[in-house]
Amino acid sequence: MAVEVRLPMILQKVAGGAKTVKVEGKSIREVFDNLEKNHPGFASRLFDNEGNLNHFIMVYVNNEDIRLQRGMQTELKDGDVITLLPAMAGGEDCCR
Amino acid sequence: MADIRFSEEQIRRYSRHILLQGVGGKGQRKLLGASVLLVGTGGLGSPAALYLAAAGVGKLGLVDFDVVDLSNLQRQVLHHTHDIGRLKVESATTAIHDINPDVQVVPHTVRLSSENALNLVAGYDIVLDGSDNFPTRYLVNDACVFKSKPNIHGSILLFHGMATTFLPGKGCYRCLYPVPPPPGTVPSCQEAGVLGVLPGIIGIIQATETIKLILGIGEVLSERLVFYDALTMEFKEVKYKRNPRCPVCGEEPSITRLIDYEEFCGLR
Amino acid sequence: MKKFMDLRGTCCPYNWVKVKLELEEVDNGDQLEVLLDDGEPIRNVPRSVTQEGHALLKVTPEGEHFRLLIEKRGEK
Repeated sequence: MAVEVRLPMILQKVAGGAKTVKVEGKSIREVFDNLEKNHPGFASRLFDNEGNLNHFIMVYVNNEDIRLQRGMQTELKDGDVITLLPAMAGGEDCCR
Repeated sequence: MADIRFSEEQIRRYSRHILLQGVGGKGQRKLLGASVLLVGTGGLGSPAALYLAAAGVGKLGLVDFDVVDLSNLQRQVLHHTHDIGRLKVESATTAIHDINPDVQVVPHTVRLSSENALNLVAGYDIVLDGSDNFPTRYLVNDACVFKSKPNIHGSILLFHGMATTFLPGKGCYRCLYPVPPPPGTVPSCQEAGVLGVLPGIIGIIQATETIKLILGIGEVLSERLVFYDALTMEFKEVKYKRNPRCPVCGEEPSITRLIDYEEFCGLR
Repeated sequence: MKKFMDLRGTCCPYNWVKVKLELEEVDNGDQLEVLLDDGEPIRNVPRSVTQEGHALLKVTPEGEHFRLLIEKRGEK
């Protein structure tokens, strides 16, 4: 069973430049585990040192926030689209 | 507001609004009587300010302590080449008055801080967040929650942007992102660049939200967030809800007054 | 062939902007030697170099400055 994961630009490098990746998994947890297996480096960007999902990245399944569902246990169907949205600030100049 | 009579010039200037069903003279009076605080007059604040001014929003507060730099002109359309070195609030005031002298501009040449934010926010109906850093974003958010002000949010990075309208009681930036990314983990625009037209799109979405909110028409982007990808020209909408455990707007808030936002964002 | 750029006194992001422009001009495998200030420049420029897929061959401190040896790698 495969789902599509849409990657923000800051994570596309980890997937060799791909904007979206197909990943197997029946839950968000499984998908993220497989993502790390296929493209090592994801886990360190998605999770903090204690293994919790970083609070500055929102995870959506078909436009619904997983925090409003079952979080990492949120179940997935074939063809679901997962979107990762990191916080963004704007453009700072450092030379002041 | 209802007793304000339009001058002949105003009737011509605002005729396209007055003609619109749902706006009319009544709506235009609401715009003329409204006040908006723009935090930042950069990439997002520029297009927002220009359209709010053109629309005849009566009072625009501008918060910016910065001066115009040559590298701003690629996207910050309030400022012009001859403004380089000028305070942004000054060049913004000129640009706004050039478009519409009806608009009262209140320049606040300060860095928004925990000391001044509540007072500033309290003086306006609506806050438009066009800031460029996480400490200010969280500060604007918390101040709007504490003063029950709508916070029209827009943010950008590289080729992407997002916008939403945080209405009091309907969730806040912390419900979306409880904490900012640790410094250095997300490239800043200064490191990675930004497509010049991108803040134009997002800033104009913010202005549209502001105008709808003032007019009380349509459906604002409350509990919804629009994510825009300039490369694919896709707008994606996602939903969010107030987090009952939000430290600021939740049932039992742990943050009840403004904090040290530089420290909160790991910058101290 | 090896090019040299003295970027002392050039602040972020203009130091990286200049390096990036130079790297666009040269061929794969060509080397670029860059002299950078301490602080933000030495923290940011090497990171951008590797993020863009180029090789950072050597970083040598020279007093208050740093000498970087960069090798251009394949265009992305």
